[in-house]
Amino acid sequence: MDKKYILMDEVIHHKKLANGLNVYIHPKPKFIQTFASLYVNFGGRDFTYRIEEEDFTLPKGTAHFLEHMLFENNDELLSGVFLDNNADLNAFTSRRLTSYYFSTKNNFSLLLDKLLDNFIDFNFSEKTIKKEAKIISQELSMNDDSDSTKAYKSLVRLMYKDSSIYEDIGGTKTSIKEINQEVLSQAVNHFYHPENMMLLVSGNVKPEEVITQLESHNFMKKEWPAFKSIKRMTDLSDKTIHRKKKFDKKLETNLVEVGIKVPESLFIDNPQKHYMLIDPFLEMMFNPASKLYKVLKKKNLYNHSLTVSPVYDGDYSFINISMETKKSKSFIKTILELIQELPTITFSEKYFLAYLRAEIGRSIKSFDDVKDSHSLIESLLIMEIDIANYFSLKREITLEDFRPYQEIFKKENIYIVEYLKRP
Amino acid sequence: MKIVKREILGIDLYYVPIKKFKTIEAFFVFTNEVDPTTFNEKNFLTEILLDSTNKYPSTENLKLVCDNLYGLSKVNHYHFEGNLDITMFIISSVSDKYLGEEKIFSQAFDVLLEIIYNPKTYKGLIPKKTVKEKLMQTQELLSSLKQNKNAYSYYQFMRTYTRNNTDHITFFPETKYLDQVTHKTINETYQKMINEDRLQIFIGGDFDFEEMDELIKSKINRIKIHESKSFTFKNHFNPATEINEVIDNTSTGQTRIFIGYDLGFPHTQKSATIMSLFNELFGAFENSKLFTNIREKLNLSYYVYSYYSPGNDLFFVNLETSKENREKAVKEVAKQLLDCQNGLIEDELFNQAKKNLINRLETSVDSQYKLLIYNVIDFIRYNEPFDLEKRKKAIENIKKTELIDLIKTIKIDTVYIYT
Repeated sequence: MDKKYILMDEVIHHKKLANGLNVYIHPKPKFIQTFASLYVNFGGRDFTYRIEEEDFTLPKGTAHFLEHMLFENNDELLSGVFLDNNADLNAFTSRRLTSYYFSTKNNFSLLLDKLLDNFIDFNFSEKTIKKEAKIISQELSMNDDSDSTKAYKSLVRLMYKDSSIYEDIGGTKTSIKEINQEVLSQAVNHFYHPENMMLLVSGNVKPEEVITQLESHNFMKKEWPAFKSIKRMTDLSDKTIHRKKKFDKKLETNLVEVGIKVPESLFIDNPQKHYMLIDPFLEMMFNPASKLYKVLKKKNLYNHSLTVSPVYDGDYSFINISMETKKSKSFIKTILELIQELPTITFSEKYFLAYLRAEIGRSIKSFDDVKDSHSLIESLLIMEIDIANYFSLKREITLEDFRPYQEIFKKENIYIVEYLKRP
Repeated sequence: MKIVKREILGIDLYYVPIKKFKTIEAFFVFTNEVDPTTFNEKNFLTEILLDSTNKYPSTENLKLVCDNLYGLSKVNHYHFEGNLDITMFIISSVSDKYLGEEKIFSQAFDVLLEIIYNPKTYKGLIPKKTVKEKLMQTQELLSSLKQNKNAYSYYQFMRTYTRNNTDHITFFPETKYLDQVTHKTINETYQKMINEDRLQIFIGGDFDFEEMDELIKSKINRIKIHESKSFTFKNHFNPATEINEVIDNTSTGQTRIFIGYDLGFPHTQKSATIMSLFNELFGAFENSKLFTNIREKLNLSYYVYSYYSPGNDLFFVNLETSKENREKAVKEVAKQLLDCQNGLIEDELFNQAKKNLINRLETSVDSQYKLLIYNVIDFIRYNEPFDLEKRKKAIENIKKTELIDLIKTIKIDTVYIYT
């Protein structure tokens, strides 16, 4: 087992088990809770993929559907034993992966065994599939019931040709009707393999004991077939239409979504560097003390609904500015003027150094909470950031690193969606 | 963990010593009797104070000093707790020993004092312009509230549910008094808070008590000291005489249902504990009555939950369903409550709910913030520190019969449907 220190008293142990499962353990002996997450490299984007030169398809929403089904695999309610032990068990599906996670104060070993038991044999009854389809349908209706979500989705659809980027992770009410035993079986066979999974444990555990337990579990003993790697392709080519308006008489206020595409060249060769830079860059550009906020406030165009956030999902990246405002026309005019000035602005060294200190402080603080540190390590592992160098990578960021990011604020990278209240 | 109480120059100071955390947190808690007419002012005030100060007169200046202090985080909370009005200012600072620098917490404490006691003023008053900006932003927020269907339906429901309790329960922004907010009323409210409210200070983390005493003493001259008032927490919900059913037909999507209840029994520490247990088994976890029946058996809803607020005796159920299942869902919630009142609570569910509640309390020792909040609230409500063992015992000792007896008085007060 190898180990890496992320802080002087915070160490992450790692071992790749014989069946290919990568296990990471972050012991926090002074805390009473333990968090465990099992990640499967299978997400909402995986409805078309290639294995050994053969193309495969799945109905949209299969990864999310399977996540629901895993709670009733082999006609057994997975949550039962977790509830009996007052543990919180849950799961989520993102565009890139599915995560099954639990937190507990009691009987961690028993619960870890139970979680892994569920990933050995897969058997889903048609009755359960039908029941889950109804619940997922409710979930999809909820997602469709938000105007701001609709506007955001329109923006992503305007920016990208690739449907794996803009399609709903849960699929559609039509696509989930196509999901049956055969579909789920294909998904399980292609994606649910230890080599395509990762386990992260944080909390009150001893790393050696966890590894010993895992090595004797049936999940390890099972004879898994050789894993065939999965190839995905993302089309990031430019789209010609950059602006879209939609009128809706049911709206109360206009919605504005602005997207600024980050060119592939900034993350394709060094995604780790992009991950480390995108947040600090945005913070320097768009914090509440920045010129952008000041001008918006001065022109009475600011309100609390304004958000600026980075989107980075490994194979595409953009900056999203979102606002609900009655003054959408003036807001768009001003924000376009402001962001197109960004390539020429000079950052203050004083504010930048202060920001770096703040970032270091915030990262240290996250180790005061098992859940927060678990999330931090999770994102570092998913992004394949070297844990031992995380803090030094942060300290090494310079203003010069932001230069190419300033250049992205050009007309050809900017997309705008307006959802307007019909008079 | 033993709470240590100090009294320094008339100020009640509570140390919550916990060795395992890398941060030190300080809470300044101001308490007074509720005054709903200044509820908007208090909300604006806490925001204004956190924006800038006299020494750091712009958001940019204040951000710079906080960033330099390794991301000093500063937040505020303002709410009514029964008959009491609570304003909290909280900072969280990384402990010096993890930074290799000295006096970071001391400087962080100075920033907190600056925020509370030295606001940015013009001719001695919080400027008109600042107040005007906040009012405009709030008006815009209100005008687009309907866009966020969850927030809108919750806000509308709460206003209906608490309509007979506006003297001690209100929700920001309180539109009834919004026109009366001026920079004069904001300044008056600020002066009242620092000159009349009871002040208690809570500090949590790994620190030396004597050193902290000295640090506080060295800075106490900046705090406005006045005679400390004492308050008794009182809590009551005034129900309506008949069920108030509101159907708002203006929604364009899913149907949101809120059902608010009148508990019908007086608030005591014991009744609040029993009610928390009932809330747990009724709708607060996956095996609860509502989740099992409404989501899993009848597939009526993706989410359904119940919520109990002991601070103001509110208890409600919320779910989202399709338009056609609306009536069925309301009937099913009513049936589940009636079943519980008739004693149909399985032993397994009852015991599991108890274990859940105890488990949640026990895991609070992993969060410094939760421990501090629990202590603040228990001092406000019961004038005693948060005692984990006592709380656990109180839950363990609840008998099913006493729970059923207690909940017999619960009845529907308000049904709000946004459809």
